Amino acid sequence: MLVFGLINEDLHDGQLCNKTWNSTFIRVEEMPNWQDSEDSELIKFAQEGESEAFGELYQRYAQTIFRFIYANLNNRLDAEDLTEEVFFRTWRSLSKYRQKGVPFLAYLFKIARNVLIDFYRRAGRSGGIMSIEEKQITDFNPDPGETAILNIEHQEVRQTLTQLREDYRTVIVLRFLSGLSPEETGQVMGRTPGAVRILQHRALSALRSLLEI
Amino acid sequence: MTRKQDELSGILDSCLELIASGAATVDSVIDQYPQYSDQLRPPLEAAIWLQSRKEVFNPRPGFVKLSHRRLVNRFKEQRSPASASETWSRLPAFFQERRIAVQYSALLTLTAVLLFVGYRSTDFLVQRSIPGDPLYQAKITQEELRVKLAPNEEGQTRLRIEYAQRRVIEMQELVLVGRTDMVDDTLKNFEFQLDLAAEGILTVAKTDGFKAAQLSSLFEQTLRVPVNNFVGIIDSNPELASGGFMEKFIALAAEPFEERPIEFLLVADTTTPTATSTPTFTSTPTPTYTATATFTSTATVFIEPTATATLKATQPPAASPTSTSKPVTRTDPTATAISPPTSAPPPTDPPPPTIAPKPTDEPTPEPAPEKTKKPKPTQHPTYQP
Repeated sequence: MLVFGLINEDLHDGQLCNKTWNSTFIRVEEMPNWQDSEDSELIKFAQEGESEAFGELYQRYAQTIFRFIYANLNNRLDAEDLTEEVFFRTWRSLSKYRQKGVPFLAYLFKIARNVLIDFYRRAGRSGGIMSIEEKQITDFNPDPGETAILNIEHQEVRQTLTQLREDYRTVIVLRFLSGLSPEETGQVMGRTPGAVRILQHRALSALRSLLEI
Repeated sequence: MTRKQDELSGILDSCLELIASGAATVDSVIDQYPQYSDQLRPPLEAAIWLQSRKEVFNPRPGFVKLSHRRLVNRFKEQRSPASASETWSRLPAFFQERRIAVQYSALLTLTAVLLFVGYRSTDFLVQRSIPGDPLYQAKITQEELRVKLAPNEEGQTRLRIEYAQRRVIEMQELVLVGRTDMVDDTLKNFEFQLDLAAEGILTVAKTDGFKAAQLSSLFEQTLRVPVNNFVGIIDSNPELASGGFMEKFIALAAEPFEERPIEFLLVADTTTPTATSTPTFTSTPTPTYTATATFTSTATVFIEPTATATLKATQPPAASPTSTSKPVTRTDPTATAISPPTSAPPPTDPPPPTIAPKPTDEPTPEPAPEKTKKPKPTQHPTYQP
């Protein structure tokens, strides 16, 4: 692979092997191990155009974002597409992102929310979101029976959550489905961790009152 | 209350962490806080219910790994996010995210708007061009094309008159911008348009006298207004006057009225009859711009028989315009436009054709019908619309 320009030697210390110097480029046969890098480093490289660094960020946060999106949709395939769309939009707008401002995870969720809003608008124009029956037809899974059960459970949780207040629903999705800590949830929701804990307590109590356990 | 809520929420969060790690169950953590049992149990049970269904919100197995490679390739296609223009990169998305019909209509509208704006901009520049400009030839070509596309002779004649007016305006602009070397060519085109317009009026007159009269009036306006304007311009540009431009222009403007057959004059406008006489522009030894007054005479050839009879009686046939017209000073061009022969009524109050001006030196004889049949060549009274 060819990498144009200078490479930060400190960051890649011990990770670059068999470097061949040329007058205009460096030949790198082994890329740095992005998995050991901090988010801030990955973001910095991604802002300089290093797609592999951003790919590592995708691997770290794709499932978190997917769960958030899927908690707001009926169709798993749509949720997958939108998850990719979130990261693609983030990649395109990464030059505007400042690490000292909003935390990266909060930035991702902000974009995810916008992607969802755009999706709802499109769905509204095109006649609505796909039904569960359509999803069963299009969803690829080796075990259709298992898929059907998962879909039914998914519908059940969604229908329950939709009866909650918007902030209750959000805190539950972020804390228990996306798996964020109270601090991270506070960054996404713009609240303090203490406020998130109180909100979570109330949201869970409200949810319990809806359940027939 | 708030402090208690904070404490209780903190305890709940700790309990949730213990349960999530598998180190405790709902009952075991509630046993640790018996005083909060009633407050802790419902949210903990709800949390357990959610945890048990968390897996239904997982993506398909392998989705992240498979999509990672695809997405990185997409990132590479747009290698530098810093250089990407957000506005332009959203434009394809705008079309992509909408229905086909909306896409097509938006595209068609955009194309139509661009074409319209482009055409209007170009047309504006073409129409604004004057001789010597790069786009001027396009203007002339466009004019000829429009003439060819005109539906009839009347339309063509109207266009010719309009183009003659344009040439006059262009000459004025040329003088104002100092491109006087281009004036001659423009004057030739002016002459060209006038000739064709006069011929057109004659053709129209054979079939429709009323329309011919309208065209003739328009024709007259084409000549009258610019001459007045030119007087002012030449007043401020003496070098142009010394080149004889004004005389040339006046002679050219008068030419159609002097040289055209009498039929041309028959279709002149009937709305501005005056008692002025035939036009002559070349007899004055020095340029005095009296021509503006004489233009009115050419357009006022139609006089009703009763008026003609009276005029004939008061104005001897021997009277010529050159001998009766008062010389007008160059610094007063507006006065020249209404200077009549001496035998005519005062310029400030031109008499309508139906009212016979009273003679000052001899009594008016009774109008003789046969005199109305033989008026002066330029005062032909026989136009019947």
